[in-house]
Amino acid sequence: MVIARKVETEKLPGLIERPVARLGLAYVWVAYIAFGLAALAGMVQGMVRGGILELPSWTNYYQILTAHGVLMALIFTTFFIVGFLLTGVARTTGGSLPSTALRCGWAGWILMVVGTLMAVVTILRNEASVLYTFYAPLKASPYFYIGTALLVVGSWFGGFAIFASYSKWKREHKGEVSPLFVFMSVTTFVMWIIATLPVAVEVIFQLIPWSLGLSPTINIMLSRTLFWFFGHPLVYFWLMPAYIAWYVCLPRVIGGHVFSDSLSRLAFILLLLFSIPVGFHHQLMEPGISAGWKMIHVTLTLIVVIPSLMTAFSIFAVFETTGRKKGGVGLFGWLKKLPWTDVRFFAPFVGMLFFIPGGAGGIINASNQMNAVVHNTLWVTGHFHITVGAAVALTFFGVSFWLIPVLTGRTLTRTANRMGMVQTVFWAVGMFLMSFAMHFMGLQGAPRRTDYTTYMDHPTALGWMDYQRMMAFGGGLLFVAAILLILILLYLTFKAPKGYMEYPIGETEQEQQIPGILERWPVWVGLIAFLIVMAYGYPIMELLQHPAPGSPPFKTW
Amino acid sequence: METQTNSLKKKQKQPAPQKETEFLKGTFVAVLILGGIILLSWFGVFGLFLERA
Amino acid sequence: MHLHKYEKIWLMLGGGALALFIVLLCVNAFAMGMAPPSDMEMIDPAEVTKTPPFDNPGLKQVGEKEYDAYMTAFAFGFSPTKMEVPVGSTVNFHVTSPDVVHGFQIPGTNVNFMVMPGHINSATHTFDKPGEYLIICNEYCGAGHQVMATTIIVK
Repeated sequence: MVIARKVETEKLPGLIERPVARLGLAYVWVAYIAFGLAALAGMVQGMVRGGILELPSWTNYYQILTAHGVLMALIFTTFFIVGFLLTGVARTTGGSLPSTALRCGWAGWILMVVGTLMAVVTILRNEASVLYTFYAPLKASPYFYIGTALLVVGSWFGGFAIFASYSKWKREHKGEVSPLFVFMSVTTFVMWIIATLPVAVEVIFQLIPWSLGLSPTINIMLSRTLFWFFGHPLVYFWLMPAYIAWYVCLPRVIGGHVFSDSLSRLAFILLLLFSIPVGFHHQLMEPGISAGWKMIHVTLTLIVVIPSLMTAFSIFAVFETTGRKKGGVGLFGWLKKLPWTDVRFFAPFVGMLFFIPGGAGGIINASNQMNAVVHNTLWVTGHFHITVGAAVALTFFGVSFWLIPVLTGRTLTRTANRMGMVQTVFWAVGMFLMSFAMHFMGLQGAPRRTDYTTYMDHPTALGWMDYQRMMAFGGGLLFVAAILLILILLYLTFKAPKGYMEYPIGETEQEQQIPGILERWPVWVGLIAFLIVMAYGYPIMELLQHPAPGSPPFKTW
Repeated sequence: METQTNSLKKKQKQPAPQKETEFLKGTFVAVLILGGIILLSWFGVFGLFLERA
Repeated sequence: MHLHKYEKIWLMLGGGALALFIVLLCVNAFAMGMAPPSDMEMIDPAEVTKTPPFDNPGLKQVGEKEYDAYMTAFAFGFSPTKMEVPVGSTVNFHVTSPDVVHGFQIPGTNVNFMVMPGHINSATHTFDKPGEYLIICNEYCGAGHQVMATTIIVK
């Protein structure tokens, strides 16, 4: 009756309407189920490479590695990002999403879940031990590629939901600049949709027909180029939502303000422009791409460092301004005034610390001929674990500690907060030990994506063994942290006391003028198109006009 | 008189911009340290690359 | 858009450092000949065993202290397997694959490149120190990826 209807659209204490909360929770919980399975796989890998565990005959290292990569890097991330951004867009546009957006959100969720299940089943049947980069001419089951395509297309619907919400808000607030969270979410998804087009082309027009036997050979260079055209902006798809949490939510959590609204938006526009036309820096050691074009992509890659330098300044500025207001004096006295015992700040902060060596390592990786020192070594594995596995993951965990209570109408209790701090420390220590070992071994040439081996007891390989054990130990700590996290989140979802939990959205201290051009999307999309044509037009044309002989499928596992 | 007002105005102008920069000194030093880490690690690996050539 | 003085300085310093990196990399790559392996030669992967010089993989001496090593990388090994050169030799490695993508890396050196079916890739190294150098495949290529290795002995 009337009362029942009121409850349906009533807002939760955290100012989010229930339909939005349900959608958000659906995405976030699939993310964490994937995360839990992937964490188990990761620990097993570490133990195998550390010489501590031998796998039974019904599985193999590369199958587990494929599961770990797909579940962590594609499923956990994408699901969490869509869920987080949808709820934040709702929160900053009045607490609800228009019905079109809700429908798109659910359609996307269903497509993504179906795609995920298809991919996971093929992986479990050892029909897709091709790793999450699925390089041809290793050929997985066609259902793996179809599942991947559904996952990608499903994620677009998350974008459509955000765009629908954005257009409605713009229509109802003519002439106004959109809320910062919304602007950043729109930018993230504009980037994502452009970035996923090439991998969709690779999967739909190359891999699926080839894996079904409809085309006898595949153009490997083209498939790799399309993949990495997607693969680099993929990491920015992971990073930008973390930046949203740092720029928009964290200032509010620590009791401060957004530093500069317009500079934050500018940083996101720069990320949008320069995260895409840079894929060759993942292909620096490949034949068939000239040294000149590699250098052009390297130059564009180093330009994309700039918005992250801006972000670093912004974050420190927020911390310093807030800390000084709270009475901090001296050059770094403001640090002491930050809420160190609040896990909503502590976890993302630890993530930020990891991003310092993470970003430095990334610049090294992209540095053209210097990549020879680290290519395909464990250094690269160390690098992406401290970036997506620490900076981004710890930020997502830190967000989840308040987001899940907001979405379930519960509160983050003092005990849960303390457990969260413990979990953060376990994750950080585990990640530090594991990634240190990985970086060090990488410099010594230890390969990534490789099962336990001593290369016939070759002294070089035997020299890596101590560090492989260190890596395994770190991985074990990470698994403990992962279990702890899931338990805390289960508690926050089902058992924590009901009450008010804030969805933290920061604001600037004073009203700031924001240049309208930042939201003139045709300008920016036009610029990206121009940059893409400049960076990829000629090389891709060459690959199409002068291809190497194609390759038939191989199943070498 | 005029000179006094001028010097008064000057005194009023100086502290304000100084406060603005004082306010972010820690930030400035922090990012410079970050820059130092980037430079050190980059040249470290570049050195390794040149040495191995 | 107001940019704080310190942020202006920071971004100029940061941008300057990045520009310095690019200049150094360009000079080192194009003026000093150390660009990343970007061989443009192609070959039919199905005909590798019949296409010279890969039909007879091995070391060919081309100078007083210089060798060309024509090698194939396949699931799961390299050919040839027994290579030996005197210390101080410069070896030009040329490698291709008849099957899937492999890697070719000599840990402790800058020799590290992708071997792709349809393409030939190459790298050069001067072995100043004696020893038995490990050559490994560092690109996942299947169930036996972790045993795919050989050595080159430098006496």
